[in-house]
Amino acid sequence: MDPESQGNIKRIAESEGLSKDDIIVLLGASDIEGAEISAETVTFGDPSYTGPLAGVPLGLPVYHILEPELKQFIPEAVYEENVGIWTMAVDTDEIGKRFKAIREKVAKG
Amino acid sequence: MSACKCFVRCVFDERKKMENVIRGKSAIVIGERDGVQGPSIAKCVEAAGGKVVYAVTECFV
Repeated sequence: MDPESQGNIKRIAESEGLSKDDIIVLLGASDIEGAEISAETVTFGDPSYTGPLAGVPLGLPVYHILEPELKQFIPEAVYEENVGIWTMAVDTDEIGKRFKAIREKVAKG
Repeated sequence: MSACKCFVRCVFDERKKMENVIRGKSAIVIGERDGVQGPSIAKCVEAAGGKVVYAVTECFV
């Protein structure tokens, strides 16, 4: 993940007046491995140890916009117009499985 | 398990499954140029009742 984005996420997560329970992170990378690395960056810290989140486990709940679990919360027309095409190009079930595993790992601490 | 307990559990599981994880939340959106881009995700978040506090579209070339 871009160091600038890492810095902004860190600032938001640590800002006063915003509890971590009120924040979620949504990713849109089409490459599953790349998305997983970004998800780990905002939960357990930057695995490459190059950005501001190196060694900073924010533990934020992270989702991928293509996860089947999220689709039910977004009006169908909006979902189809904005992300629908990607559901045909990406293994959404696999994304859902991997992101769920990351969230469960975060929940266990 | 009695039928009553089973019914309560089924209803509870269904409600848990249906809980909107976006509504009322402050969302950090990290889109990707070669994937779903930030503004597209942001529109979905807002339509689901969330508030976008940061949105970016990253580009890895």
